[in-house]
Parts: sequence; structure tokens; C-alpha cells
Amino acid sequence: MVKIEPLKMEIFEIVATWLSKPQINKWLASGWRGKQIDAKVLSIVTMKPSNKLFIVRYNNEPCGLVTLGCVDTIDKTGTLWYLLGEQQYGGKGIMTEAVRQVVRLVFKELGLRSISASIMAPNYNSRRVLEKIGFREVGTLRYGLELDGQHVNRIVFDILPEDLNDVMTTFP
Amino acid sequence: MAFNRETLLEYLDNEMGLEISGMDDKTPLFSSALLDSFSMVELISFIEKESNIKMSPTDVNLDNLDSIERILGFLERRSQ
Repeated sequence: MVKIEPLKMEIFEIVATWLSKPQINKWLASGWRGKQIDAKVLSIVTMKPSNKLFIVRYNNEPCGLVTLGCVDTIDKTGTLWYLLGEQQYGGKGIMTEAVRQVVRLVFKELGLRSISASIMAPNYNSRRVLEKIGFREVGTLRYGLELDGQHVNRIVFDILPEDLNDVMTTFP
Repeated sequence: MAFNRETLLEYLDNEMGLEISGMDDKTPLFSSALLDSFSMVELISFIEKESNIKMSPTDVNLDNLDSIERILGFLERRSQ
């Protein structure tokens, strides 16, 4: 069973470990890339009212993170990003379900009108997560991101409440 | 080197690029988005290094860090 809950201090160290893993860190926004990430950094990020961070649990085990950042209460928008921290849970649809739950929650509780997300073009796993939930590709920023020393395109997506594919994934 | 208001102002001006002439000691630094999360990480590193006071994750909150006045107040409480 996939559950999301607000990220609390007790889990900061685990999440900091995930963010620091090279195979995860290289896909993150430039502000995170190559940086020393510890619990204090998570304290800072969660301190900001415009950031909403959720821990993902699969059968009660923490396994991922979903974040809605840059929440703009005037324009009613936010920017989504996420990661699977424990790779052994990959391929099960866990992050798809977790991101779906966060998107549903923030549309309902924050009244956002749209949510955006962007990925590095080679990140096919991340693309699948977004497309399954109902995000639409809305543009490409050419050479917008650096990956492994080379510039790659940034693919931009967005979703409106009416786009959300709200069919829940079933888990064994 | 003693960590004081001038030390902090100089850092915010020179390293963070803030327009300190338009600020006062109560100006929100983080909740107002003057500083983003990663600038705050650097600011905390600077504060720890210059004041010789280590901050724990529980110390990292708006009450302790969101203005010049709050930062100096936190350091004063910690050094007692």
C-alpha cells in the first residue's frame, strides 16, 4: 500500500541520504546537484511555506519523496518534483501512485489551478510517471539542464485538475 | 573574529548580493524569498564558521534565522 505524509524531522536523515546518492542526485535541479545534503538542508527547505514535502511509504517503509515547491498562492501554481529513494521498489508503480496522491491532495487542499513539472529529456522513467497521471508535455527548453557533463533538453509538463487521471493503482 | 551585526551585514551584502541599505534588522530574509534555500545553506555555514556555534536541524527555523535581529538573538542565547 502506498501512503504519503508530510515530511517530518525524524526522516530528514534518510531523505538527505537519498538526495546525496549520485544516481539520484544527478537528475535533480542544479541547486541540489553536487552539494553536500544533510538534515539541516532539509530543515531549511521545509522551513519555507511555499515548499510542501511528502514522504512516500510503501507498506510503511519510507521509499520516496514528492515535493511541491514554489507554491504561489496568488497565481495558484506550484512545481512538482519527486524521487524514488529506495531503488529496490522500482518498477512497481509506487511513485506514480504517490505523485497522483500528492497532486490530488494539493489540488483539493491548496486550490491550485495548475501544477508544472520538468524533467531531463533522457529521464524516461520520470516521463512515464507524469504521463500516467495526466501531465501534458507543454514545451522544451533546449539544453536547459546539464547531465553527466553534457547539456540536455528540459521537457516541461503541466497538469490541471481536470487532467488528473485518478485511477488508483492496485498493489499486491 | 567576533560575529556581530556588521559581520552579518557585510556577508549579506558582499556574498548574497542583498541591497542592505533597503533592509532593517527585522526584514524577513527567507520567508520573503530574499534568500532561497541554497543561499540559506551557505548563510548557515558562514554563521557556524564565524561564530563557532554549531546549529542542529532543530535550530534551523524561521524564529532563529529569518531576520538579522533573529539571527543575532539566536547566537546571543546560544553563547550564554
